[in-house]
Amino acid sequence: MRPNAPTPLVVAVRVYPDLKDEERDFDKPKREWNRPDAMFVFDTETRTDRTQRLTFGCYRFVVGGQLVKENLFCGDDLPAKDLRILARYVSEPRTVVPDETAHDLSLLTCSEFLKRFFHDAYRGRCLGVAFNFPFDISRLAYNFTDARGRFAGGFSLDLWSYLESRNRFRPSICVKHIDSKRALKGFTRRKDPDEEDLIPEGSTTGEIDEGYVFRGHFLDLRTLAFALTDKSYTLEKACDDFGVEHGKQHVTRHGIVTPKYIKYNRRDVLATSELAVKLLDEFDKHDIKLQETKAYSPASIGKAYLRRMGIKPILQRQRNFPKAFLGHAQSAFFGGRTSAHIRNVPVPVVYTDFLSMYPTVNSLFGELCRATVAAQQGISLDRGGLVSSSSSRRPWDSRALGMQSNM
Amino acid sequence: MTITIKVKPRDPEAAFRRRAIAQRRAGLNAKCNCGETRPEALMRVKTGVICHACKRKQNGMTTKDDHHFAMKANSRITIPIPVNDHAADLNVAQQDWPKQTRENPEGSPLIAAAACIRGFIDTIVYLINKGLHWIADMLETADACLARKLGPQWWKNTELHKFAPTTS
Repeated sequence: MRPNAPTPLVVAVRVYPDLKDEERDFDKPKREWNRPDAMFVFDTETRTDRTQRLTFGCYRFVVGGQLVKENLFCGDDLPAKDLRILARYVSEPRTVVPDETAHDLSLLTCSEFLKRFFHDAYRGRCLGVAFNFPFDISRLAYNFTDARGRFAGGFSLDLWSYLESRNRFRPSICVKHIDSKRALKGFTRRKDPDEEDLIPEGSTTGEIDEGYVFRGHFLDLRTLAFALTDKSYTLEKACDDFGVEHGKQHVTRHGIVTPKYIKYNRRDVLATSELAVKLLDEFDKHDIKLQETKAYSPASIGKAYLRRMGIKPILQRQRNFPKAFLGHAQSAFFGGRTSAHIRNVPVPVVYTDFLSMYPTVNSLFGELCRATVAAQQGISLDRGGLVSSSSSRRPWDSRALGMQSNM
Repeated sequence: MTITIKVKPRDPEAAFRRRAIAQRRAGLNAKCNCGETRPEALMRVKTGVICHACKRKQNGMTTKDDHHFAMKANSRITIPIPVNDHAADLNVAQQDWPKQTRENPEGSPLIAAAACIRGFIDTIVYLINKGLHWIADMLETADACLARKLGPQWWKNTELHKFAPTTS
């Protein structure tokens, strides 16, 4: 190879498309949102091996704050021994907590449970509530595919089957993760929807909109707790912090179906439903027009306040602001990415979270910023950032400032 | 406040779903000019929302329906019911019955008897709500009104004194 031979480089071009509906997106006329007074709260238990397949679960249907139905459901491939334990458990009415009225329980198959979920959450449009919703809903799916459209990059979960393939007369549920606490979730369009399913949410006329797709009211309490507090919560911690009366309990062993474990699961669902009430009460203290199922982060609440105050985004106020400058600003942003090299094969994983990367980067940027200012003023910094007499070192040389950490 | 007696739904999930769908069809906060707000009693027309009774009046028809109290498959007996109550109360109550009882495809006498019991209960509850509850409401309001005007023991030295409860 010749010493001065050009080295081929891969050139990546970043494109920032100018969205047509960017104005509409911020200040579009919102459909009136009336929170449904019914909640479908559920939780699942899984095996503890790497497949984490569904063993059983429980759901509570709550209308107007009153429990009207509670049932257990089980996985389709549950061993007969475990089924007998579940059947024996539901044969006699038992309460989860002493102050609750005894009520009947039924044991449903997974498909029976999903039928009820479809009727309540899709047709009845009640709130579908869970703590860490994507995990629980994915345990119920029998198949998944890559999602398209607004959920591109996420998963499309097939919950309802017909003759061993997807039932096209039922929607799928798409889940696209934003991060560990937040995910976009929604029903997809189904074939031949009923007329009442095409009536947009909050419609005052009851007129059908052929293009309307009901996306569901999925309330992930983990996300809502994060949006309200900017903290990452477990169910136990959230119950403690929000003063839930019947909080989460512990069980010595997971994954094995026993009466104690069933009670633990029911208690989890009770705690989840009480936590939902507490979180919604907390959310209602904010005088904003934001659908709680769309409160993904504290920023969502902040934006809702700005809307409420009538403060418009800068591009609506300064419509002629040059887009080229925005492009330059966006070029400075580096977004990390992850990728999976082995797919569709269960493998052991190690959960690795670079929790402090952003503070590190910000801290280093701060150092660089001060160095730049110092350079402009003709002074230099020592390693501790203190102003010292001028030296021959170039102040913006990162090595001179000890910035050798890998970001 | 008017209290209404309701039979506990056999399938509360389905009852909620039917209610939600009826609400959606009528539209949010829909109301007829006559004041009717029950979504099951409302229908959409070109000009907006109208209740069954007003629509019938507009068309010069009767506002009473013949209600099959045990459903048509089980008994031919009918009772005249205002059309709005028929649509919003009694029909809704019947929707909660088991499908087998509603349809009784084989004409089973036991199912027919069960339907008669269910229909009787629904009708009695309807009559209690429509025929008795308002009287209790009215008596309580009248007592408060008299107490304001004549004092807390307004019945003393009147013909109504003999109806006062004896506590000892």
